[in-house]
Amino acid sequence: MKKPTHSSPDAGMPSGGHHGHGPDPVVEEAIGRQLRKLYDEVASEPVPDRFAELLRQLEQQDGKG
Amino acid sequence: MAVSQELRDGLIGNIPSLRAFAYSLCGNATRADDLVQETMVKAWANFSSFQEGTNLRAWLFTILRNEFYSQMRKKGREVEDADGMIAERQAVIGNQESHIELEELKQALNKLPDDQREAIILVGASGMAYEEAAAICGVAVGTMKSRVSRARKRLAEMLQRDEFELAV
Repeated sequence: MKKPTHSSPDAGMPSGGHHGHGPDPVVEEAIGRQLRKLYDEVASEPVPDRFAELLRQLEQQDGKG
Repeated sequence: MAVSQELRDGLIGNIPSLRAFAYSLCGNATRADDLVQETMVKAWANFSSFQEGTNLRAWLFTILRNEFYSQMRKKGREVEDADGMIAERQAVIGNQESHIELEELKQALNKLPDDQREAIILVGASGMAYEEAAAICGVAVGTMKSRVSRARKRLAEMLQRDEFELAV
């Protein structure tokens, strides 16, 4: 049986020592996760009061105009 | 002209994602909220030019993005010092399977060219479709796809090296 040499170079392999050809899929997946985490962490915070205050000011301006 | 209730609610509903976009772009919480504030003021003043029924989020993100770059141009590129960014928001992640942590990612993002950074934030972090991200940045969808892919590759290169150094 002929063993495939390079069709799926890292299938089932741990990420350690991955160098050379293309990004490590494990690293890529970790980056994707961390990117979403960076974003979602802020997006899920309660909105600071300053923005409610800002809206009030903007609406007041409109009221005068 | 009075701003409609619908637009007002739409604006409020988009504040969390505007904050997340701003923070991902500049890496500084205070500056991010200043950017959002400026975006809201500009949006409010220009709502008459917004076509109701079209994509409000994309419209707001475009304003924020333009504001971010115009501030960068004014200030010259005085990039935030890395230490300040780290102290800003400490995120603790117990992620054993890879050594990539949020702070390393933020520093790596900071090193990307502007066009790649915004591309990977919009598509990779916020989960936006290529089409919407392309519209926000004013480029073709194919351009957006190639920017995202180059950004992924460069981030992986930078962080893979970090991971290797950490492991040694």
